[in-house]
Amino acid sequence: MMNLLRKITHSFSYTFMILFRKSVKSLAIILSVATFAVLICLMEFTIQKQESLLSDMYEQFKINLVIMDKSASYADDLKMNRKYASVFMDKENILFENLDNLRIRSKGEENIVVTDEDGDYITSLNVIGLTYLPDQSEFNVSADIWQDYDNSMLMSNENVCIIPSGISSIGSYIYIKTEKIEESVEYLVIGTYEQEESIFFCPYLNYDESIAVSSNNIYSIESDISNTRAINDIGIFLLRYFIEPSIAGVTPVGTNDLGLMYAFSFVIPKGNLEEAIDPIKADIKKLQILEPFIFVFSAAIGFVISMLSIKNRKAEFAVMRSMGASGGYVFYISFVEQAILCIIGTMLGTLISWIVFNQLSPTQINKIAIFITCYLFGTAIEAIRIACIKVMKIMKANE
Amino acid sequence: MEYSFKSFYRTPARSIIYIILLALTATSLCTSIAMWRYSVESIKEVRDTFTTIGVLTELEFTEQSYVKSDPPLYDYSMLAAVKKRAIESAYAVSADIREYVMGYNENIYADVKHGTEVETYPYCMSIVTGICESIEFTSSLNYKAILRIDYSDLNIIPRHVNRYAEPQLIRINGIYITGDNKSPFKVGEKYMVYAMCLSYDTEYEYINAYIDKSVNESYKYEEIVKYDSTTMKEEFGEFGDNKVFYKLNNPSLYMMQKIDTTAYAFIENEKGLWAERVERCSITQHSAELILTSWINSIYMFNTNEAYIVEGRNITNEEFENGVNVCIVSSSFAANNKLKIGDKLAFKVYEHDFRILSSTIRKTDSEPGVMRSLEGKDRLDVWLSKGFDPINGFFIEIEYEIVGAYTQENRINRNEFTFTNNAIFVPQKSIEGNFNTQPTVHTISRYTDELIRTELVRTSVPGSFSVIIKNGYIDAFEKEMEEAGYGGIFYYFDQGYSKVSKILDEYSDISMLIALISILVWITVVAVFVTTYISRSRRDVAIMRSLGTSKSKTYISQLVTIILIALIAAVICSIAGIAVYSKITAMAFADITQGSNTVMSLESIIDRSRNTVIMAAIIQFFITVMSFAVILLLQIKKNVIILMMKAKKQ
Repeated sequence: MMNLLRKITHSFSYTFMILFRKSVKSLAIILSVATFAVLICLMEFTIQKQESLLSDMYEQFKINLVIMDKSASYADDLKMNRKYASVFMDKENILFENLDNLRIRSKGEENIVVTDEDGDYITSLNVIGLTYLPDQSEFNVSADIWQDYDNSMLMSNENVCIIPSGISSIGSYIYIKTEKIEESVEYLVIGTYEQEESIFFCPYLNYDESIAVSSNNIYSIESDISNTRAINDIGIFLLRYFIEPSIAGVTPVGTNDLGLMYAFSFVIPKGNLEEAIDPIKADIKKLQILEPFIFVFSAAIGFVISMLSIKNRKAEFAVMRSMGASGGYVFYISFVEQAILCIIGTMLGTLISWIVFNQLSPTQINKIAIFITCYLFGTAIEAIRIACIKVMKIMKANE
Repeated sequence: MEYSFKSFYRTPARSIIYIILLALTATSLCTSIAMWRYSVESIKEVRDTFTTIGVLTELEFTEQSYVKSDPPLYDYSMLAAVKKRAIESAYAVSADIREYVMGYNENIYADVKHGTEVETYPYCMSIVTGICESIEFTSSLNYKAILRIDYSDLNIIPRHVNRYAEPQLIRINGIYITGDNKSPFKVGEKYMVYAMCLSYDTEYEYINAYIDKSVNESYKYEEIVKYDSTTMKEEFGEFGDNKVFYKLNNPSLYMMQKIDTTAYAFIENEKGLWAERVERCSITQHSAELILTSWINSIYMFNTNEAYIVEGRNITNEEFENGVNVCIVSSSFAANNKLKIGDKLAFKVYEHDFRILSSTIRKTDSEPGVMRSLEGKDRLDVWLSKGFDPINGFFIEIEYEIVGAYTQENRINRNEFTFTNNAIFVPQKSIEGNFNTQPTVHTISRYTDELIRTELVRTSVPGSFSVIIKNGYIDAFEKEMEEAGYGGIFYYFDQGYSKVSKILDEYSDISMLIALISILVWITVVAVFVTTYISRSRRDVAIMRSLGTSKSKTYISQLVTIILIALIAAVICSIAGIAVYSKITAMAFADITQGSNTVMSLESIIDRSRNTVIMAAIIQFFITVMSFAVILLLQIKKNVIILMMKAKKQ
């Protein structure tokens, strides 16, 4: 044990003596390793930063999704089957988590009769089922909404409604009769409007279930895309039910996943999203692809620098061997020397990176560790080679 | 030289190690520099995908048609000066001054939705022949006459009316009685009518048509006629007293013609006004609006993504610059005319005058219960083509290839920045000439003590002007305009560039770091190489000098060796660098949509960046050799004894 300890301390003192004696060369190697360490930290930092910037870029683009006829000529009065609503309102699929502000509405072809509690006639109203609050631009109504309202009310099939203020007030109940249901049904008034329109607004699902006469009752479907990164995946998903616009009206043979003919197209007006994002995505991907090459380079350069450093000292190691040092000890001395240089250089590079970039993520530390491993691997190869060469051959070697 | 080659071959292992060391670091450097070059170019490309425009609304400079309109914000005489100043701005890239002509093709139908005059004019102008079945004078000035259409005779009815059914009846709403104070239509008589067919009423199964509305200058020829009750009974049936009628004293403005034979025969004999009207209708109903532009994204609706390409592609920069005969059409126009991407459309092109119509803005924010239009804020002038003018005829025939189809958000109200689905966009340089140069006479009416009509001359078409501004320089441009006294006139749209600009700047800075650090790595490794090699060669130099070799020979022999090593390393670096860069690029681009504009523009960047690899390899070769040459020179100049002592120490 003491012998081992003595050998270790001796080897370290010998190593440091050599390093100080060849200070210029040692410094050159330390600086090389340090710059490689900085490069690796920087690459990792750059990739993370670029990914973050790319996410910021995506967020700047507000993209929406519009369902249109086959040729993308119009987006309303589509007379779509009710089944399409289930595609957009299914909480299990990709659309639900990546779309926002879904706007499905019916045309307004049905009428309902508003009655009192006893079923006596009050007035008739035109019905529109929808999943969003009606507004001035589309319906010419400016509705006051219940303070407890939330978006899920119109996305559900609850018996809630928005009606002219002259009929009832917010928070009260009204009764309606429809062609489908003879008895009066109670609805909670969640909103009223002052304008002269005579429209009864209710959730689309509620309309579809209780009031709609036809199954092809969807007038229009639109939505905002909350996660712009998922546009391609959304497009792939929608191809199961819709086509991409075709002015020639070309549709796939057969039916879509709903068992219906392909009669509608989806349009995602991306603007200049692809032109803006694709070059950056490609750039980031290049950097990610380049990283392994850098590790390979670092291993190779570690090997080469070690070789250059050790090669000049063959005679020194030959003398050590001839004086009784084992091959293993020679390996150990030469490896430790390069390892110390590598570790000092890496620590220096890491410190510089930390100071400059003000961060040192676990990923960067992992990459540094991989770099050290690769570098020492290269060093080990050369050290083994030196340790295995015949002493006499070195002594006789003609430089 | 011989010594140099021998020393190279004598120690192959060491030479190869040096070559590998230099080649590896140089490859790493060249690849990094190429990638940095790509980053720079691609960020520039990304910036160039945004188009910043400044538009002004000419309606803020003009008196509007509606009698209670607010006065304009600016004087019309300022308009030309404002545009000129904008074009001359240091921050303006160019200006897009769009021109409007029309193209006739007998195989196409104008794409029009039925509805109002604003939505259908001039394509609603029709020739209808039929026998009057009834006429009714309403309590207002108008009358409604129903004619049964005679399909055996001449009829030019627009497709938006007869697309789904062959209408049998037409209900004509008119104003004027005849010049001889007679009812415009008599039951049982046959008429040829030059009417504005707006829509088809599916409930009552008749065409809704108007006459007299399209006559702009009718006020100049109007006379008021007041009948007594006896005459009223004789002429028009039971009607109250004090009924006022209007008539026109200019026969060329009459929109109906009683005919005793056929319309064909009548026109054959007449060969005048009605022949012109027939030609005007038949050409116009088969016409599309050709909008000549120099850049699609300079158009407001495309810039703000309210209009967008849904199939095919947009017109490219090169096609605009070279005036290539390509076009983009609306998807609705294409579908209705059974066109597809790649089809060719031949047009006979003609210029047209404009008709200025006051359009009601629907769905306003008016107070409930308040009548619209009281304040004049919900009516807006819309400029519409007057259609084909037989007197001017066609001026060119041209064929365009359809490269893309666009659609647009459903806009309830038209304004100077909107366009119809009948608009086809073509490169401005594809048709030579200056168009829309004829001033448009705009007649406005205002009440003082009585109704006063004024004719104003307009020299430009609203919505036709955009100035393309350098991205990121909106504030600077506006400041320049303010200094010229034109502040607050322009409205700016930049496709979100202002939001992404900072992100791109940060991205650019980050990319540069990689290149700098790569250079630093290369410098360090080369320094290691030089240090090692110099220390190795010190002994050789010392021996050569001590044996009497001159400094120059010693220097050259050592230098040639290093040049050889560096040259081989540079060649390997170039080949490996290009291979690595190409491989990385191919892998990185695997996800990008093939055939898109993105790929085409990026391919040119990739080619330029690939050349950077070779340039970087050459430059690093020279720098390596030069640095070694300098250090070697310093070594050679040293005293031989000192050299020997240093060599011995090693």
